[in-house]
Amino acid sequence: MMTKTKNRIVYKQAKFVLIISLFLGVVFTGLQLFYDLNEEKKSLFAGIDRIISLHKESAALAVYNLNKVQALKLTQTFVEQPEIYRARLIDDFGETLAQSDRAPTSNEKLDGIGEALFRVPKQLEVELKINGLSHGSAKLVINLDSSHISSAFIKRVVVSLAFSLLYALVLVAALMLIFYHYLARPILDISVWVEQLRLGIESKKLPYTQADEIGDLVSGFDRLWNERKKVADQLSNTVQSLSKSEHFSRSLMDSAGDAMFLCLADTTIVQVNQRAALSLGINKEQLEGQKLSRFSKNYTDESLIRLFASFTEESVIEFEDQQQGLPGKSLPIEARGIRLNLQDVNYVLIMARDVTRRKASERKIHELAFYDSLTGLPNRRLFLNRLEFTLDNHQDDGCFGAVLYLDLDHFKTINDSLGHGVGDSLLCQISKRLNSILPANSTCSRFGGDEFIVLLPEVGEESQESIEEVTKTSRDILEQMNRPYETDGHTLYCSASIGIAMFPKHGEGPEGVLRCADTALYRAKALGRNGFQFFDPEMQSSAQQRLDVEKGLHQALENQEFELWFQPQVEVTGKMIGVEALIRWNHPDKGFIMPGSFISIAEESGQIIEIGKWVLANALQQLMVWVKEGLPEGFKHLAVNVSPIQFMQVDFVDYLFGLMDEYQVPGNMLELEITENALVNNFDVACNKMKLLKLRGISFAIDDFGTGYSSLRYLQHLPLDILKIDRSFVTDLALNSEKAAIVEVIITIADRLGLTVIAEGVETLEEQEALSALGCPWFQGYLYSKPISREALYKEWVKAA
Amino acid sequence: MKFINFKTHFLALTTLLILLYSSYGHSQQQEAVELYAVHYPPYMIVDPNGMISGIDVEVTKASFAAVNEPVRIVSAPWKRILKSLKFGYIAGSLTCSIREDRLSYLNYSEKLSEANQVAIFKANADASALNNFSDLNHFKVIAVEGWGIQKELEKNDIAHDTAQELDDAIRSLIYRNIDVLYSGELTTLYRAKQLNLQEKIKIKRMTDKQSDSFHLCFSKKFTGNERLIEKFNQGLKLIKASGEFGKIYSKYR
Repeated sequence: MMTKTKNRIVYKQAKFVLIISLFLGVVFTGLQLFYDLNEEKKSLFAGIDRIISLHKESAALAVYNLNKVQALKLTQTFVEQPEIYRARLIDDFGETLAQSDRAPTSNEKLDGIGEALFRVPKQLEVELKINGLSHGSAKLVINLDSSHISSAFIKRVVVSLAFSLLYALVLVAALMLIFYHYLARPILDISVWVEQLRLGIESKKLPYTQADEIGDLVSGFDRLWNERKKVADQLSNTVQSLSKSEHFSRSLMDSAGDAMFLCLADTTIVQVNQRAALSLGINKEQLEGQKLSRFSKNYTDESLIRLFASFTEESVIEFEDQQQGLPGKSLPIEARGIRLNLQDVNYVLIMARDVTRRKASERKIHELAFYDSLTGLPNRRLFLNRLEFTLDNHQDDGCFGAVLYLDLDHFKTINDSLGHGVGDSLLCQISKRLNSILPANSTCSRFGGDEFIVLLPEVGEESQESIEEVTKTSRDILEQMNRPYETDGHTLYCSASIGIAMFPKHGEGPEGVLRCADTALYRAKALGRNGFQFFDPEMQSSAQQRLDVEKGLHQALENQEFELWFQPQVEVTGKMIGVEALIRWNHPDKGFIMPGSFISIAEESGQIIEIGKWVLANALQQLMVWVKEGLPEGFKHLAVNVSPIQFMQVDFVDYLFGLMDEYQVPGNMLELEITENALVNNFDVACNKMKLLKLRGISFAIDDFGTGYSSLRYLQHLPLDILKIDRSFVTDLALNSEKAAIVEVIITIADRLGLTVIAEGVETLEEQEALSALGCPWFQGYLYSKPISREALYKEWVKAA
Repeated sequence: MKFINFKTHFLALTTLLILLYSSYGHSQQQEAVELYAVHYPPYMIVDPNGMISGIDVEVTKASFAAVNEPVRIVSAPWKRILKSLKFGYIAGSLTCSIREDRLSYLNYSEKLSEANQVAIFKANADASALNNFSDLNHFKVIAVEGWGIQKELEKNDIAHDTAQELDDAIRSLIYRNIDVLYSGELTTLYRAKQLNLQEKIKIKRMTDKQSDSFHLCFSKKFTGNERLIEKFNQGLKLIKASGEFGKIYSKYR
């Protein structure tokens, strides 16, 4: 605490006072000396001038008289002056009349200073005026003693400086004493007093009690110290209490059964308790500083920050999460969060409770409550919940759903004969098969016994489409049911009956829908089991019809029930330029069935591929016959429709080339008609295939042009030859109509692209005339001929031509 | 440059005019020669008003006047006169004694006057012990500072005091403890008469001392000094012959 001498205020003050007083002393002494110097110079030269003036006339007279004695006296008088060491009188003849000397003060340094300061000339010459006879000017020559002049002045300088120095020293000493007495010593006492206060040594006596500024400072400081001490004591007590409280809190935290995470708003963990470390398998030090979201499976960092932001200081918010600590340390938690504000920092305290056991119990309860204990399938309650939920959704979206009520045929027999174990095993296998074939969004439930209920929540947006989809699913289910089961060494065969209720058409509410399905089920069973029945008879009929067509197509191929009919294509003169091959199904019971009634089903069932192959083979074979028999002049091609599914088959090109090779048919006589959709959906593949086929001379016509995408892109890039104007544009076509405008555009585009146009569905002469007027060269339709058999065609058109 | 040239030409022209005017004046009226005199009565008397008279003054004026040579007599201190002569600054001076040290720079005329160097005693003093010049050694002697006779004392190593003026020397002789005033006879008597002290002194000539002659002296450096001496000598002869010389002398005896 002892202050070094050089750091003491007294010393600093003395130092500054000394420096300043010396500086000012030197400056002002210098100014005074400068003034003195000027005055001294004036006085010196005034004195010399006075002496000269005093003796000038005498000197002139002595010179006039050439009176050496008088002249000598005069020069001696001059020399007696201390500033003059030599005086000489020179007469007007230029000769020295008298001269007096004395030894000058010898000091070369002083001479130099004197000359520098006083600018004393070494010699003064005064001209003497001689009255009367004279022959020039006489002179009084005086040599000045500059050493003497400057020495006196320098003595005064030295004395002045010495006194300035002395003055400064005395002033410094006096100020040091005053400052020490009135300032430094009290400050020293005060600093000792303050140091004692700091060390806790309190003295009731103040170090300075005078009624001045220092006294005010001391008393003020004393008051402040006492106030602060009081506050500090209170603070210390508070800190001790807080310390105890914190220890208490920490003990509470560590002994708490829940994991506790004290986090910042950005989910950074600030502090955890022992339980948190144990539950995650990570020690506390590693946890602190990590983001809590890192240990969450359900929350990302952003979502957890949002969750934290919703916390308040007033209420606890609960949430659940799955925490993931070390590998294998995953646990469900039920967490409660609350916002805390500690020392102006917002924290979030998360208390997480391991709810693994509770979750397991909940799961078990849920399973027991909502699932069938034997098969694990949803039970009636869960099914009805889902059905109710689905029904609610379909109130607005217009989608169709279906409930399939399954009942195993003769299951009681198996149960009774082979025992419940085999029956239960069979039920489990059946439930697995059902789950394996049903759509992911469906619910397969067991209501007990051998009753299974399937919920198909979304089967389509159109009624017919939905019926078809449900029919397909039902058939799939029945097919799966019919496959044999291996259970405990037994090979079992089982079938099922299905009752179908569509919603929202059938029944009101879940129970209503179920009742409808149940009703349909009884009907199915009544109709001989191993089948399905819709609750609605019309739906049932539609489904049955479709099933009949699909089944009939299989038989049609096998029984050669398909036939090819041909419709001529003509130019404006009526001359045939080609024919289009058209398939007809000559059903044994229903007679001829038009393609529109079975092609779409064949395409959905995939039977179109076989049917298409049959059409191509028969068409090429017929063409070969006609080529051999001879075709009329101007006959250009045989047009064959190709389904998009067939066209996109990988082996389509090879198959067609095989047929062409087999029947020796030239490619330029074959025209394939394909729809726009086949091209647009697989443009690159279609383009490549068309180019390959084009190499063999095959031409292509776009069927139903104008009803699909009518993309200009494929018109430009695909190797097309003919655009076939759809019959919808041709029917009732009249010039200057909107249809005419569309037809004109089609014809113009075709013309620009080098394509030919043929209009199909031409039934009246007006239509033909309009088409002709618009520039259409070729026509096809009832105006010329209905599709006819090969024999009729040959007879009516080929032979006639 | 033009200004300098003009100034030079102007000065040259002015100088030429002055010279021409001077020549013209000289030819018409001869300028008077200045001759210097000191107060050395009765040979040269300079009164307080600056009027100069005396034996030699009048003889000189008369001599030059006789040969129609204008002169002007002015006064100056004796030492200054001698030194001016030595340097040739002035033409000449009256009442010069011939001294060897002066021969180098002075030319002398015929004798103008003469003076006897005598020992002057108080009237009641015993002068018997003084017969020869060397006897002065036994007396307390005073002489006028700077005069030729004072030089003579110095030359002969005769101790003596000096006075600045002859009057001082006379008073010193009479009222001080001075035994002898070594001075010119006529001069001293003239001044004593002026001071009304002639009764208090007496003259004693020394056997080995001849009278000193005074001459008109001219500086050798002064152009025309020989002509002036010749003129003076001619005039002197004339006034001696006419009796004017005697008349002048008689005025001052």
